[in-house]
Amino acid sequence: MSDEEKKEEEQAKAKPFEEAPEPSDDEEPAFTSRDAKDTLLEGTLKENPISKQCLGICSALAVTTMVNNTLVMCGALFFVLTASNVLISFLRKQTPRKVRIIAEMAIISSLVIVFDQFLKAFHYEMSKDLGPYVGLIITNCIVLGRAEACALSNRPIKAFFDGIANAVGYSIILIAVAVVRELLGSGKLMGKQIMSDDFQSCQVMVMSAGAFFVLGTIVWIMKSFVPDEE
Amino acid sequence: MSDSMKTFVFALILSLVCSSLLAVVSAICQPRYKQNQILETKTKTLSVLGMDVDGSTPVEKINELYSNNVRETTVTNDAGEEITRAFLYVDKESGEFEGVAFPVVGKGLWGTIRGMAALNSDLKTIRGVRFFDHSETPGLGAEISQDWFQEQWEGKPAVNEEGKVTIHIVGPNQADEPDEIDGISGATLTGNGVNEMMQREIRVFLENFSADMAMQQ
Repeated sequence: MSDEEKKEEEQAKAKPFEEAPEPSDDEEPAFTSRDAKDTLLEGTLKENPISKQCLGICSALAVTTMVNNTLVMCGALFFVLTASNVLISFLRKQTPRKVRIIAEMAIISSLVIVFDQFLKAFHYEMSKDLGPYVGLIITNCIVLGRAEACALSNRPIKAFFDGIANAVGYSIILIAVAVVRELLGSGKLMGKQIMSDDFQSCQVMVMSAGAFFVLGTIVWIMKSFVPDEE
Repeated sequence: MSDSMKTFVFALILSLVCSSLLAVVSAICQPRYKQNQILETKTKTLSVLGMDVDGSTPVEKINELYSNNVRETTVTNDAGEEITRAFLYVDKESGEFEGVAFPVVGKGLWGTIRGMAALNSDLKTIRGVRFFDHSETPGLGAEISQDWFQEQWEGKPAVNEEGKVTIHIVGPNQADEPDEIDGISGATLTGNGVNEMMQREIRVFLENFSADMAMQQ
């Protein structure tokens, strides 16, 4: 080994990894439609936030007694996740590492409060039905998880697709759980009576425990159709 | 620029942008939110007084019904301290006192139950009952806010001949006496809470409320 090489090695050792230069946009390969498709597929199926990563279970249990509430909740998460991913990705090179979590939380909570305020002002009944759960999106692990895992290290376009994909993945599971729970728990679908009058509603489906059963079954089904890559 | 300076500037700019965004949104939304809350209280009051209104009733109709027929007043005890609020139902044409609604608060199984009760002008029969704010178990205790449960209270005696408040919840499908209400299967503890709340609130209200005084206010 020559002296020069040794010197370089020492320098590399001395540098903490966080100072490693990030590749600039020009060096990154262009984001093609193929990448978009891959990102979408990954977020919705392969790495589905709920069924695969078991994130965001709290709201999946709490808001799935009625399909209508679930749809609004999914809309809220879609808006927050996509917008926060894009904003955090835009700011990723300016964000100092030390305060990145606080910066992410500031962006996420601002977006959630904006949505919550609009809901309270323009869809008051719905905001009463959802109770604290819109506000609790701030602490939803999916949002911060995607910010850390994707938005911080990728370009806004990729973060945008990643946000959409994960929100859709979340929504698919939530809507599936809500359809089962509302149908069996109260015999209705989106507030309309579906089952006949003598249908004996299944009380456990209205309670959180029922959501666990439905969610578990869905995770099981998804795992058997989407094989693990390991 | 040093690293810590950069961090500081970044944090400053970010918090400024976020807080001004929130300030703008709040300025747009707050007035509407407040209106919604007032409207909700009006709708609930009208509903417990026996009017056929709910969340889908047009805003103008609720405001019109409310301003025509409802008078807000406070109930004070002998020492002049405010006990509760009361909403008098006064017929627009005849100007006569027809009923009164007041808020009720009590303990359920899991948390506070809030609602409203209304009495007829004789102050002896119940005009209506609504429980709207509670955290009881869905499908069990939460049934207290269902129509079938609330409608049972209408026309029941608020006080018996001796002037005592005896209305209470019994087991499911066991209400025989006039002062009994069919309970909810699997929600005995919620029922106990509702019993305590209703008996106490009606008693306290009747001890301090006088229709004549309230009409003069």
